[in-house]
Amino acid sequence: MQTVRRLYVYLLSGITLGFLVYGLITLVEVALSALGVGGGGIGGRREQLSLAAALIGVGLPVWAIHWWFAERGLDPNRPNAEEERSSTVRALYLTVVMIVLLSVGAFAARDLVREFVLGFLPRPQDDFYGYSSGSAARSLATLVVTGAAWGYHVAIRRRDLARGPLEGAAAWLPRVYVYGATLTGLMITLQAFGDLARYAGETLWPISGTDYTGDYRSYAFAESLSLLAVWTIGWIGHWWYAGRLLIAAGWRASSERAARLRLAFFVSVILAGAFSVIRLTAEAVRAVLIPVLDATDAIGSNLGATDLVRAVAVALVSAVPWAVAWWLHQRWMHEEALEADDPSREAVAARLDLHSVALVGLAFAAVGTGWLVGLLIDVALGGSRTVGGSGFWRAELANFVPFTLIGLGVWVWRWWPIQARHQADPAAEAASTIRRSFLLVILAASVITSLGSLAYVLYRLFGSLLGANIGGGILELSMPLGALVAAGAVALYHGLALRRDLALRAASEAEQPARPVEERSRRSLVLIGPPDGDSDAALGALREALPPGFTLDE
Amino acid sequence: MSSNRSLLAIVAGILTLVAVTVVVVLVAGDPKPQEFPPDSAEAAVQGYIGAWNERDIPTAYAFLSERVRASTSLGDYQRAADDFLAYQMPPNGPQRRVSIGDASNDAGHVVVPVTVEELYGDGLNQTVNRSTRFVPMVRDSDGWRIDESLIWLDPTYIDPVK
Repeated sequence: MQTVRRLYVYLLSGITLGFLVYGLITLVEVALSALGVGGGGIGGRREQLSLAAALIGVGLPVWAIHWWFAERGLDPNRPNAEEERSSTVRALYLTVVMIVLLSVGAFAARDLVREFVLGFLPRPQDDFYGYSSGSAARSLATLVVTGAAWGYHVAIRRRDLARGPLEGAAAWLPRVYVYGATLTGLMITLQAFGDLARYAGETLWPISGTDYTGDYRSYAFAESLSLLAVWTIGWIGHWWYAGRLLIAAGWRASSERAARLRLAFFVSVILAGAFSVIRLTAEAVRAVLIPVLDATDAIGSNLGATDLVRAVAVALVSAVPWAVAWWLHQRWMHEEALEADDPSREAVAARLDLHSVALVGLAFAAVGTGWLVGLLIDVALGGSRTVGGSGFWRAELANFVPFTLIGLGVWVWRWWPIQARHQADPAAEAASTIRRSFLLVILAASVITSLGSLAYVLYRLFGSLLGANIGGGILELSMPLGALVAAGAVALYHGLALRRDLALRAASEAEQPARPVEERSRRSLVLIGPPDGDSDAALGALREALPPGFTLDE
Repeated sequence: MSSNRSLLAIVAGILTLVAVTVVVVLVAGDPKPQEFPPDSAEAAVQGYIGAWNERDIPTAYAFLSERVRASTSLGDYQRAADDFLAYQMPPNGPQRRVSIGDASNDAGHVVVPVTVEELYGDGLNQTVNRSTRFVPMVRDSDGWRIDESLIWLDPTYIDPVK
């Protein structure tokens, strides 16, 4: 009953908060425009004011009533205050509200910074790429209102946390917000840095034979710079907060250190870092291979020396921050694991690090290998019977040789120590959930790829046998066959590893002696009393009160 | 086989695959022209695509049927072709290669399947988009001709200039 009531209260609070925030944004926008702030581009101020008044008139009282109900439940004098504070619905509400407000506010801040930056650059045409002048008042109003609403909800959450420990969903749901915002901020920051490096490269070494306009360049530069500025603040702010939790007094530090979401955050950054470093390094190698393999025809432009320098420099410069982020988060994850109370944490961190990078390397190597096998089939079995397409194969070669080689290198770099760990302690590694998940994820992906490719190959085969008019020939079959070969090999290799692990686990379980009966009913208890209390006397009293057959050991 | 040996075997196998593929592609060179009997429907399609590859629009126009040519003048066709060439063909458009299949009879009409592969993007974003188009053919007095208003291989309505 309480859950249904909470669902109602928080759902209505959320919806009416949306009305209220939208109404306030419109109101502030009209006020700013009237004061001449932000371009004053609003027409029909009376209509806007009417809309704002209606939204606030409806939203404010209904939100206030429902939010008052929600907050009243936390009154320490009420019997269910603790239950309310630690409820999943409340945690979900605060998480969703903070995510939405942060996202909307960040978009507005980006628009505002972009407008500011564009003021120093050659002015783009109005509505270029959706950009429209005169939106600064709206952006500023959105930023102010969502910022205030976000700040209020952050304060509410901090007050909830200050009242005592929270466990379960009440603890981890808002943590999704903290680490989700940190991760999003970091990813956008690094991506925007790469985009800026590209624009810098295009300015230093202009692209041969392109007709990029100044509008495009100004807008794209301002867009990337504004994203970088806004999300760097978002990323650092949330990461700083998460770091402060680690050194906070009381239960919060231990809760944060043990949080799986924090570990998942590190792994996400490692995955994204490994992915981007391989992708960008492959781009640099591709740029070198295109002229080496004489594939310039296929990419549709006559590459000059400056194009080559730009492509290599931009790719490598863009890869550097990803590599730094990867290395730092990997290091922090290991350091925190070493400092953890749980001695098994370091093994978990090491496994996560090794397996996640191996997974990314394998994905690149498998994709590249599949394409190369397909290319080989194409060349060998009749794909040469074509009209046009000069340098087509060479372009594919230039693209997928780097993926294959760099992916393979990264996979071997991480898979080798995984194998060494397995050889050193086969039973422990075979029992590891991380290793099992890694093998199952690869098995699932490769089996799905194999099945899709096989189904397509059979469709073409049956079509030919039944005389269906489906055209194509080997051109349609080479890449599915390549994918089938690569995915099949990956599935076989990892399937065998999984099978060996299963056998090891079964053998290990068979070797373990049966646990004594009394151990199954063993429970550890903590006795807490006043500082001057006589714990021995309390323990004696407890022992006397035990039912027959029970003992209390220290 | 120990796990380390199997790992080394995989590495060696993939490196060999890379080396073999590079050598095969470099030795094979570019795709060779298909060979069809001179008076076949496939040869007419090949001649038409070959003319487009050479940007020889009047020759390509000549491969269209009398019916299509009667509805579209060479001047209109040239104008539509120029627009297409400006944006849709390399170096501005994606790289393409075309494979011509065997002609077949589809409900009383002769069609030639043409598979077009287009290379888009680069890096992880690179994809090869394949599509098979069936070009309707008709036997005119001067041989097999394409019986559809095509700009390259795209069916197009060409608006005549008044």
